[in-house]
Amino acid sequence: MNYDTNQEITWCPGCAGYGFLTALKNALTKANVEPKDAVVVYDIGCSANAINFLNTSGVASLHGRSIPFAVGVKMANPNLTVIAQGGEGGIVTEGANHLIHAAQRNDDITVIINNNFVFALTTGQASSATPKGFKTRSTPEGNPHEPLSAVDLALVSGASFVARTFAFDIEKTSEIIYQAITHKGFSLVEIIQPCVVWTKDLVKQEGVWMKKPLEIKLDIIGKSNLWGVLFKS
Amino acid sequence: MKNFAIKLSGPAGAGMMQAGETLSKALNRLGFYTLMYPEYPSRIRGGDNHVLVVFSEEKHVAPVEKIDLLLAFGKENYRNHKNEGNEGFQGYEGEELGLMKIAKELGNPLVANTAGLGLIFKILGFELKALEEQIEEEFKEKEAVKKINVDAAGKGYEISKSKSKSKSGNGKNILNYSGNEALVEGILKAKCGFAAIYPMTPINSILTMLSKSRVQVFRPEDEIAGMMAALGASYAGKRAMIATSGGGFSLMVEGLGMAGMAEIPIVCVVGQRTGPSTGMATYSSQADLNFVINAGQGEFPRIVLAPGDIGECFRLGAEAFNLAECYQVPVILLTDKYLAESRFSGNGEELKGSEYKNYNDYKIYKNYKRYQFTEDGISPMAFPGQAIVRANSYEHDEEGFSCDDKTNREKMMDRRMNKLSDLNGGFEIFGKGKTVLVGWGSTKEIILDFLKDNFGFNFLHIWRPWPFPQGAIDILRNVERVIVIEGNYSGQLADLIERFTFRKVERVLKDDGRPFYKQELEDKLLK
Ligand SMILES: Cc1ncc(C[n+]2csc(CCOP(=O)(O)OP(=O)(O)O)c2C)c(N)n1
Ligand code: SF4
Ligand SMILES: [Mg+2]
Repeated sequence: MNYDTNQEITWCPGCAGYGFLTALKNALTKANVEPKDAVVVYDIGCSANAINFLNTSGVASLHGRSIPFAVGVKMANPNLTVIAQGGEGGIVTEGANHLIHAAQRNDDITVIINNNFVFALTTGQASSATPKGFKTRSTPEGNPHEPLSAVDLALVSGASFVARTFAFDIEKTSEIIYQAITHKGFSLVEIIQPCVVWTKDLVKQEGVWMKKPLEIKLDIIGKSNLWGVLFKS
Repeated sequence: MKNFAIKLSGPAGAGMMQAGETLSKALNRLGFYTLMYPEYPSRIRGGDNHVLVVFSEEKHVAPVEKIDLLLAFGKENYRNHKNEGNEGFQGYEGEELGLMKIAKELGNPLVANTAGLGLIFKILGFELKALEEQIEEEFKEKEAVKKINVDAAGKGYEISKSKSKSKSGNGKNILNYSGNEALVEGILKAKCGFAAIYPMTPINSILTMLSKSRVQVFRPEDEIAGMMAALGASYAGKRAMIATSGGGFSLMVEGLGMAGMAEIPIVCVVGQRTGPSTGMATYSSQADLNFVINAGQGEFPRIVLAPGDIGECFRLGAEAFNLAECYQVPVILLTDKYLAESRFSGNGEELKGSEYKNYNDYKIYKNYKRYQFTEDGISPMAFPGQAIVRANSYEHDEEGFSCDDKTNREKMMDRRMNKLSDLNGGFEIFGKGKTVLVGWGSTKEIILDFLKDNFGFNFLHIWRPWPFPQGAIDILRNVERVIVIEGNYSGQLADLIERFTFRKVERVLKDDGRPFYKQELEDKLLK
């Protein structure tokens, strides 16, 4: 299946977006989804700036609102493979209400969050996922708050598939997205990725990759160093 | 016969709304046209809920301030309304009359209201039969409840020693609908497939009714989600709607703009209530016209429909979906608390004549372009699954790819902004005279009632305030005197008319949360 378009890719050279895009195409290929039958609802932000780069049905939506649009698509036509995708600024900061409620309802969509820890497209301000103490354009003295974790929010709200992966590990990311889009029920994939402009040295891939999902949510919550499919029910 | 006005008043929870509905429907059975207008504070128990039931031998019944008959269920409630009487006013208090006692003896204190209806029927000089039949109809599935209510009505009837006998009306098969009920009939007629509704007065009963229908109903986490989910469902191929009031619509505005830009059909029912902000949550208003016409950044085409009676609620309720699909634009159906929750009557024509119209080809497309340039500006609609369909809130090219190109932008704006150029109609004219009264939305019935008794007036009812009807502009430019009647503080339709006709108009305005009352309107117009 060919998911390529003839459009110019506008991400910075070295942006993790490229790795993510390859992984998404791999996953769709493996799941054998025809381009017309996959609907990717893009949020607004650097990472979500991808409607031109993937040749499937798709919607460039609004900042923070990709999830509810995707929920409506899936309700109206359950035969479609429906993905909401965007940065942590959109999906966690602006749109957390939608994230937790889609998880609560176990809506049969996949949410992919590209977490680069800042609002990249608006020039690097702190989002709610920015680590405590990190200096950004909106927190010159260092971010005063503990970060919010999409994985934690989804877990406590009732998500039935929760995973964390690293954008440059294309092989693992492909497999995890494949599992998520073929999972029945709400699936969340958090893709940790550096932004070469604003958070170049922030992201380190430390910790352990899970061989299989954990059973107890409390073993996952609050831990940012666990990777792979963390929870599945 | 003059219109006759009855008020029922009692604490919230005592069944005033239900009693008002039963009474008005029983009066319909007797051949009378009715209006039932409920007023209630924002609370679930206690206080003073009251319903006004006005009946008449002719169609078009306006609310009145002065009443002919009061039945209160509680001393406090009686005191609240005892000074609202016309000449010949009769006022009763249910406790004193023993209505509560009857209900207790029958084993259910809640049927005091029904006993009261029996009493009213006797006082008015009508036979009990029509009331009994109405009660039997309402409780036909609950034998025990039916019996106790029929018994209560009978006992209430016996309390009064009145010997008066009155003639029935002449109407046949009179139907009785609230604005919301008629709107739902229209929504179903149009084969709406998806409704996202977060509860809010005055659209709650739409959520309740649609939840029991074949429409897929989504109660979202907030109105932003509701709007977005409805857009998602529409993009995926279902006729979709939201329903809310001003506060909820405020949250939906960003999504409304997306509907305009991405050309996703959507019907937005906006039931106006008194603002600004929380305002008076359970009272009416016509102050959101400017808001719905102008909501959203940038410029995009939209249609605003403002039904004025149950016939238009039905017809425009259905037509909204046809228009949204035909032009691929957001269509706003602007109602208000008075129209939505009051009950009106008609003779059956009201709920006929609308049809479902389809504008889409359900075929497999090759090389589909969602935003293809076409002669009339409307690009063929396909849904994901039929083709690769790219919808875009960002400016885009024909294929739906984001695009900042100057020439493309100009062509796309031209295409979108001219989509509605062949719309016509939008208003209706009644009566004859040199002075033109202009109204929109729920003032229709009230002004028609005024015309029954007052000659020499022309009435222009605007049911599509946006795009503002060209035909109305042509008429209003060339008449002597124009008086615009509307339920807001500044005269929002009046402003629109002045903007489009370059002429000055007079304004009769009201902004106290209540509908125009018959006498009040006469006082203002005949002074
Ligand atoms: C309602 C609204 N508020 C703000 C913006 C401006 N905005 C565009 S992108 C963005 C930040 C995106 O951050 P994130 O979602 O993390 O994506 P990233 O750029 O980091 O990939 C913001 C705030 C907007 N488009 N819409
Ligand atoms: S700013 Fe960061 S996130 Fe945005 S394109 Fe460049 S590298 Fe990617
Ligand atoms: Mg980000």
